[in-house]
Amino acid sequence: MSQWMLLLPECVLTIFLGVALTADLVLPALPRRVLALLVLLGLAVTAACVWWTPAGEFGGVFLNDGFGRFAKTIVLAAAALVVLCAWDFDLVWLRPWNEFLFLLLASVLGMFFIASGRELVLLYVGLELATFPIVLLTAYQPADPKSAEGGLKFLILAALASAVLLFGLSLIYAATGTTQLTVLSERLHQGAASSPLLLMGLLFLLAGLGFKIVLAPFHTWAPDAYEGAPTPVTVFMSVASKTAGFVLAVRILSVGLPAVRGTWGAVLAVLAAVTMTLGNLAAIPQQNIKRLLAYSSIAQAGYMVMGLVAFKPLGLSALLYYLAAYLFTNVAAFAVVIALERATGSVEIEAYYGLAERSPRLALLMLLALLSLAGIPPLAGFTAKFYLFAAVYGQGYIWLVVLAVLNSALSLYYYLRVIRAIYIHQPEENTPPLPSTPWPLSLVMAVTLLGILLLGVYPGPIVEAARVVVGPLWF
Amino acid sequence: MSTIIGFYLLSALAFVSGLVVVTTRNLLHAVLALAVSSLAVAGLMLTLAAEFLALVLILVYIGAVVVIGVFAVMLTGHFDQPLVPASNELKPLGAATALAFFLLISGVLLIQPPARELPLFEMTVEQIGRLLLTEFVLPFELVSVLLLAAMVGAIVVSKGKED
Repeated sequence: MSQWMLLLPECVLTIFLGVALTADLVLPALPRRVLALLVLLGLAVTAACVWWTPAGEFGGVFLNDGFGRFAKTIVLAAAALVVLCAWDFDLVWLRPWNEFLFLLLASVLGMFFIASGRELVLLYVGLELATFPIVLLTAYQPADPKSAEGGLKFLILAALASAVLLFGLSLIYAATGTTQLTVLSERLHQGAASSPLLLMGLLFLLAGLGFKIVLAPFHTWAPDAYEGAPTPVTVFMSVASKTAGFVLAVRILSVGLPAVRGTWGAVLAVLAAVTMTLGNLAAIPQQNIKRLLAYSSIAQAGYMVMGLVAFKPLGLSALLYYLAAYLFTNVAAFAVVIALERATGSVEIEAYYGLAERSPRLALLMLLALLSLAGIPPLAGFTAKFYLFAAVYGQGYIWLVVLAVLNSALSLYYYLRVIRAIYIHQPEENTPPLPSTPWPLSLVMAVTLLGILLLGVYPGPIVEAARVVVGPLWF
Repeated sequence: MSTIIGFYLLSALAFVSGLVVVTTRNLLHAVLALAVSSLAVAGLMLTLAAEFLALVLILVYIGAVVVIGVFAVMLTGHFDQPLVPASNELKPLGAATALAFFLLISGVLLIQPPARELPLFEMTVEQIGRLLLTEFVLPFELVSVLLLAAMVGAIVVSKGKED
């Protein structure tokens, strides 16, 4: 069998990407939902190919392995949920729908190459392909100046981050003379590890990665971009981009640079501590639910980095589990935000006053999602935090675990503020009743609810899967 | 010897025109200074025997990016009186950051001069072409999707409200 077979999922995805772009040239007046169904079909076929394609290596630059499959599955699930979320968003959705789907799939394709790449140039191009469609989608809502502002800030800082990352990668190349991660690792073991050029490259690399996975102090673009982007795009940004960023970090750091683990482990531990504290503190005064969730996701990134700090198989598998739990939890919270935004046009916390009376089901889902984000048992967020903190504790970073637990308590404060608005506050006089939720959004809610509960009470299979797939990263 | 003189001349040119880019108030002058700066950097690449990169820099940066920049400046007006000042209160901080960055880089290079003798090829174009279709074939193909996405997205976002 030809090596090219390994690229089957990527090829299938590229075909559907072309279909999404050209469908309305061939069939004008194609209904919105037909195209959405077509794209969902494409994502499903790609998922099947991801699991059907045998494991193997493509010329030392591309690797099909369990870790890549796990990451690709999370990204595909996120993309499918986003398509469902955006399905009925046309209330404020004025721009062409097929280009939206095309850009979404292009970003997914970039993330696929991040998940499988083993070579710095390929990883970098994949990262650009994953990021830039999201920048464009952020600026996708013409009526809203916030969308343009968020898009512009995102564009400039993403370009800056790419420059920093690229500079770091070029220094690493200068120090070692290779861009292939496995060769890089060998060269480092042969003694290039102590070179100042390499350390400097590593520093720039970490700063660039910090932009992409939104670590403080590189987080300043995120709240504006999250707030300005159309909400379904915010969902994709907060879940899929974050997953891709962490996968990139795991690939480069654990495959290419394990020899200098002491250095990047220490830097990341400090960044984790700063990020979670800053994210949680900044979330407290927010009045806009999207900004609040943006800062909350910054804090969550801080927890996730701890998985990289703990590193050993346990830390990385806990990180993968956390990403899966975060997918369901965050999409659930944003699904409620989208439902309310459709109904009331507002994303302020005041719009949630008395939601428990107006729509008990939405209120309950939001309650569970926020409690899961805060890490309350028996929800997915608790199990994820439990595994993660245990892994970090096992590596002796006791101060970091203590700080993370304190931060979780702190985060409960602002999550409870939203819950108070939903359950305690009375709705304002003559608030119109909420219209019924369209079925695609209801489907998203059902799936994410199931995910939050299932990952919380029965984590076994996913934990086992995450443990199995990070094993081969070690050699 | 002549390479060294060339290096210093071109570096000085790149540095000075780079300064003009960020300090001048006239946007058109800034864009033209950017062209000069790119040209000087292309010259530096020639002294390093990287003639392909030098040509690409001239073709893409001067031929496309700067020309688009000129069009953008001309079409949007205000090119001699920009609405936004060329600097703000963060200027000292920016200068300090640039200086710190320079010191860091030069410090690292003084401690460890790049010792690895990178092989100089007679024909870098041929080598690059070969590499692009062998070792780097995947990123090479992927870039085409990236460019397509950028093009489609740029049109969609700039087209304005759909009627």
